[in-house]
Amino acid sequence: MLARLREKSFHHFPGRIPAAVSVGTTPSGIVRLSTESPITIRLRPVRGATAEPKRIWLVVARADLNEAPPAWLKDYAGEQDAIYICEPRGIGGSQWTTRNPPNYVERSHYLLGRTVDSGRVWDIAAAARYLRASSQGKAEIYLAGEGAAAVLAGYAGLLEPDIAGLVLARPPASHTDPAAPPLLGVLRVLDIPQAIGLLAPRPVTLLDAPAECRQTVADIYRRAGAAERVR
Amino acid sequence: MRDTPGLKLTPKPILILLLQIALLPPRVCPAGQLHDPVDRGQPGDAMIQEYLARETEKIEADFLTDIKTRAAGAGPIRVLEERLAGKAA
Repeated sequence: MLARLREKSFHHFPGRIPAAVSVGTTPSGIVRLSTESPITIRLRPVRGATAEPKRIWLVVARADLNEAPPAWLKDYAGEQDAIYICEPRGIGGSQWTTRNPPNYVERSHYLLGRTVDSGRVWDIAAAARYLRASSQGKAEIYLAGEGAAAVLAGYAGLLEPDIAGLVLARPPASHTDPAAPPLLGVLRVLDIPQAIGLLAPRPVTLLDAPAECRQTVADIYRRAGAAERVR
Repeated sequence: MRDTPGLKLTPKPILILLLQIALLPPRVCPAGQLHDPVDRGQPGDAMIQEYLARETEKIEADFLTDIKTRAAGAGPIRVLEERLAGKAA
């Protein structure tokens, strides 16, 4: 199923997305990452890795870097964990002009057989690999996101094996929901609950997820012998 | 049906009106449809435009690279022609 997903929705991805490369740091500590030339995104340390954290949390931003980490994150991120907020392309510091209509950027992506959001999945996976490499592979990378950002984090987790676990808050139940990020051809293969289920056996926490979504994910995890790893 | 005085339409005024419309000078636009100015109002405008241009060039460069011979290139066209012929029959 993952192979079909790659073929239908992420055909422009390489076998494994390369780690992002740092291209500079601002005086306020915001790191600029090159994920896919010429795309650069921003990464803000909320609680930097001064010591050697065992876990690094990568929170996918919905608006921009100035947003505070979600309140629910403190229930999962320990005191020793590092926390970063990542702005995928088109958000915050890399925002582009959007007019609806004509939606030039979005439509141009469709003509190239991709969507803006599939590019955002790339950015998240590349940033996760950057953080993993920056800890010399010692820290585990966890993703967190809310709403559409939770779905993007889920797909990044599917495509990047170095992501150890995820906390997904209020994910839309289906790609047919207008709030869900569009991915070309995705419904020919699976929908959001099945995509999250494919993360098994990696630990996944669903917060305020629609009941049907939660049930489907739990069923898949149970069949994979990892029932206790989904909460 | 009663005729309304003063509103009786005859073909002649209609023809004159159509002729006048046809003779209106066209809007002069020598370059055809004009492009909108390139967006530069947001920090990510230049970046995403460059990305789209590069990806387009990559796709164009790879176009037809799988087709090694003229016959192979004609294949899809032949299939289409056969299908159309079958439909017509």
